[in-house]
Amino acid sequence: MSTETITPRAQEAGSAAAPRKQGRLGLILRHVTIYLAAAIFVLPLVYAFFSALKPNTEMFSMPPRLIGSEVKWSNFAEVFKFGPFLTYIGNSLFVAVAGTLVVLFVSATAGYAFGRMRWKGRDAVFIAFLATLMVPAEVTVIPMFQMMQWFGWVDTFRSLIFPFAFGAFGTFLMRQFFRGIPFELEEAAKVDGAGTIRTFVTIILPLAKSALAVLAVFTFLGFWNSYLWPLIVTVDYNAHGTLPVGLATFSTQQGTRWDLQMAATIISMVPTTLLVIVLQKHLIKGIAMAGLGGR
Amino acid sequence: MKHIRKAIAAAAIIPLALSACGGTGGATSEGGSDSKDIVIEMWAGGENDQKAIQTQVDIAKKLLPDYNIELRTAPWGDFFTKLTTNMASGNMACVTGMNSGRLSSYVDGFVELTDADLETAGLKKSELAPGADEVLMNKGKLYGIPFDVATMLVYYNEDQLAAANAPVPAPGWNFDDFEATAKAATANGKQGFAVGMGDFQWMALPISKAGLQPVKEDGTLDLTNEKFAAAADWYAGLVSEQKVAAEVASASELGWGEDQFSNGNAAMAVDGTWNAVSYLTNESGFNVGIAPLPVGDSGESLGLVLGSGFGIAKNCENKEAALKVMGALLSEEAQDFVASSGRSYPARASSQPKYFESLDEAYRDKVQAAFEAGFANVQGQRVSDEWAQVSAYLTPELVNAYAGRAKLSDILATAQGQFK
Amino acid sequence: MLRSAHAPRRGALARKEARQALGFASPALVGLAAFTIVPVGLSIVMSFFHWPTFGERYPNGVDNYIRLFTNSPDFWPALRNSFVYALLYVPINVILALALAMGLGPRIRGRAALRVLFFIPVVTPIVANVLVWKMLLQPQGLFNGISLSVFGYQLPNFLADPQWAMIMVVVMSVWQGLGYNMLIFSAALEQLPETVVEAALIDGAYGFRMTWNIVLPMISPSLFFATVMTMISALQVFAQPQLLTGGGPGNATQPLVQFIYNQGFKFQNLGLAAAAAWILFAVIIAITALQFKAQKRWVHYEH
Repeated sequence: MSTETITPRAQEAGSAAAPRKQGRLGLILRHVTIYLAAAIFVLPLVYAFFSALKPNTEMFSMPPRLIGSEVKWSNFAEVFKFGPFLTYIGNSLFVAVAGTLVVLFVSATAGYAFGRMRWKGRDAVFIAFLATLMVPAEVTVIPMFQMMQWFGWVDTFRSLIFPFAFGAFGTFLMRQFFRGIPFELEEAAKVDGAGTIRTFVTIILPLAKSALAVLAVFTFLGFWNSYLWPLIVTVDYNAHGTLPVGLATFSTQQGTRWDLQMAATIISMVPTTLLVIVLQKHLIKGIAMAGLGGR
Repeated sequence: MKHIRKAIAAAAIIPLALSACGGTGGATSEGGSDSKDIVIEMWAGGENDQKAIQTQVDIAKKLLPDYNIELRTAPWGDFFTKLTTNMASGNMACVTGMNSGRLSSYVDGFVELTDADLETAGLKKSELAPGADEVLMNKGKLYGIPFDVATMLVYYNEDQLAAANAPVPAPGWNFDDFEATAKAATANGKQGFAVGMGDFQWMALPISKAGLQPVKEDGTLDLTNEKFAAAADWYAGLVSEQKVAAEVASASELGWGEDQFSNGNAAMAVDGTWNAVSYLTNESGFNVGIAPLPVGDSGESLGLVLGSGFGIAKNCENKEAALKVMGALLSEEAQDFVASSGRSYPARASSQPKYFESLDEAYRDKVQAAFEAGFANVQGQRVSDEWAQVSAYLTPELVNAYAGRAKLSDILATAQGQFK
Repeated sequence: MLRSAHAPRRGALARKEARQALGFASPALVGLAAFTIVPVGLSIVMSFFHWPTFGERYPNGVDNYIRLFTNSPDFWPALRNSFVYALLYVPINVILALALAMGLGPRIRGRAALRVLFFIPVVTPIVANVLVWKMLLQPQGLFNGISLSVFGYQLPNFLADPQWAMIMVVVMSVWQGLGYNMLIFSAALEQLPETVVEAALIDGAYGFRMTWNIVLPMISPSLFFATVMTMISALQVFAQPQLLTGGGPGNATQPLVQFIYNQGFKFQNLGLAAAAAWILFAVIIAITALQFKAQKRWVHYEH
């Protein structure tokens, strides 16, 4: 990664620029601009929240109002009565957590092999690996479903977890990160007589905390929001349905319960938002260290 | 540091744990040819839907105690996506739900039902209401037996019509009456009518006006039929010329007209009999009236008989058992339940009166009159092989027609050329 | 590219390392083979078959491809729409995300909270995001409601107007995707001395020069990464137009992936869908390769 190498020049440029800094007025203006942008940005979210509190029939009434004729907090409770929404949340949590763990394991080991070990054909295999990032998911959905049939995996959690747990993105990210770690650390461990696996687990992995956090967040989000695949591969929604599929159950042949769908949406945002808040610091650090900006 | 080590360890264990405990699934559990394990797949959204279908299945279980019947459901919108994949992989449930409007895309997955099959199932065509045997028929071949029948009706907001002093629709009304009501009700910031986006919803009025369907009896497209094209242009003109209906907001608003009506933005909309009760008991609390489709130029109103039912999958290994289960699902007892729950209008003639009995007295007679008038002159829906493509092409183009950017008859002509 | 911190090693040691490497890489390789290579291979086969969802399948050579190019009225518009979308979406997203990341410097109060805020749409189910935007954009929605009651001006029917529909799909997508690139740029900027970024924020020619000559070159690897990834995802766009405009009006916003979805899942023509998917794949590969070629001119790696 370019961290060490970029710094001297940046320092130089920085010190040259040091006397010139945005003034007080400029800073205030900047605050105003950013908070204004944030306000505009957050408007749809606020509107979504208030919509979740309206009666169903007032969703699209004219003229639009932020608050309906009554404030129905009961919509949030109703969500859980309409269908097995708690099961959907549980399933989504299980699938997302299990999927994330698989991805972390697979990506960390492969990233290590590609980033720090030397073997014949490594770079060629890696480029082939990267090329799969460009395959649109729609290309593989139908054949993949066919394969799930062969495996007898249709309507199991396995089919929700494994097929998309081996993407190249995670390996790419971990490889970039591992390449930035000085080799001397590893050499020292080897001199102490540690084997490759022990070095990996005790030296390398602990250093990779931030990168693993980034990967965990993105993977979790991917599983949490995935829609098309669970839709196809789940047969018994009450047993294996996930959240996005559950959101769709509010659209029935008799029309859509917009109010409940909005409330359910708000509920489904909570875990991911919490995850981002908790891991916010790691995210920035991890992205920087993983050198997503690198080669 | 510790967490990560634990995580890695857990990640290594998970695949094992999953393969150990996840073995219960698999859609291929149809069983051997002599097994009495039968899977039913049907759409259902929400708890009430689930309960209703489950009750029907329970009745079937009671009638066939030595059968092992399993029910699987998916929401209406997703049911057909899943059916596509199930069909592709030869994995359809033995007894699969089907809707008249969708059948043409899925005929390949169902077996054609013969009279002998119906006998095995214990069903008779003569016990169905008139026209009901056409519901799941495609090009003269029978693929399923309906549990309900439906047709399209005009729903109107009594309060809005009264406020605008608009003439109230009544059985036997014609298209001039319709226009008069729509015009008068377009007042006070509300629209007199809301156009449909779904096939049935938008085509109902043009079909009744023209007195014919845009598909010929042999299943070939007839979108350029002069009468139908003129009626279609008239229909789009309700938005672009007569301005008695609002432009559609997006081609993704597949329930546009119905939503506008429920939200109180439009005084009239066309929708199926299946929604009669939910409109009559609407949450907003406005009074709803029901009328049959207006009488067309031929002097009669023409409606389509629609409906949903069950068919038998081609890949089913035990057809006889499947037929028996289907028969039980459509038995008199099950049909009586469908009727008396007021959820939909049953296909079995003897169960139909129970539907009206289940309704609140306040609107029972109103519904019965509209239903009887609505079903008085109905035809089975004719569908061409490419109907799914035609429909997918037309829906987003309707937006242009309503906005007046293109003539609906021109759009229909393009579709006719493209999909013939 | 490789760090050669070691003297070349030979023989047993190298073989041992290769064996271990294989062990480390094998879960990923096996998984990728099973869940990507095999289905991709299958889909190539399908693209040369008449492959209906149900019924007889038979090989038909390049008929699917020929049919796409000569006899599928929606194919060319779909390809065009995908390009128009990508060409609008990628620059707007990257520029706004960069501006936001630069603006959100350490001197901004509530910086962490703001970052989370801009990231929330990324983590929200897309179905929900679309629903909200529909409620804002439709004639009975919030925007037109405000415009009518405050200015008495009727806004266009955004999602049903051929000119506006695509713009709104892009606007909604930018709103939804901005946070992701913002995070990447924030991470890159954090590697630079604070003073450099601050200087670049000064109004006028000096700030612009600092941005253009110092900041952008320094984070150019991040810019490159973000542009490449955003372009790939833009060419694969599906959910936003599918849910927001239904591809309409007409086929004005139908992108290639929606075309593929319709062919495969609505019209049951899996062979044609697979062929179209392969054309999309070829387009993505070509554009990505072009970007890699062009990167030598503007991306500065510091070594």
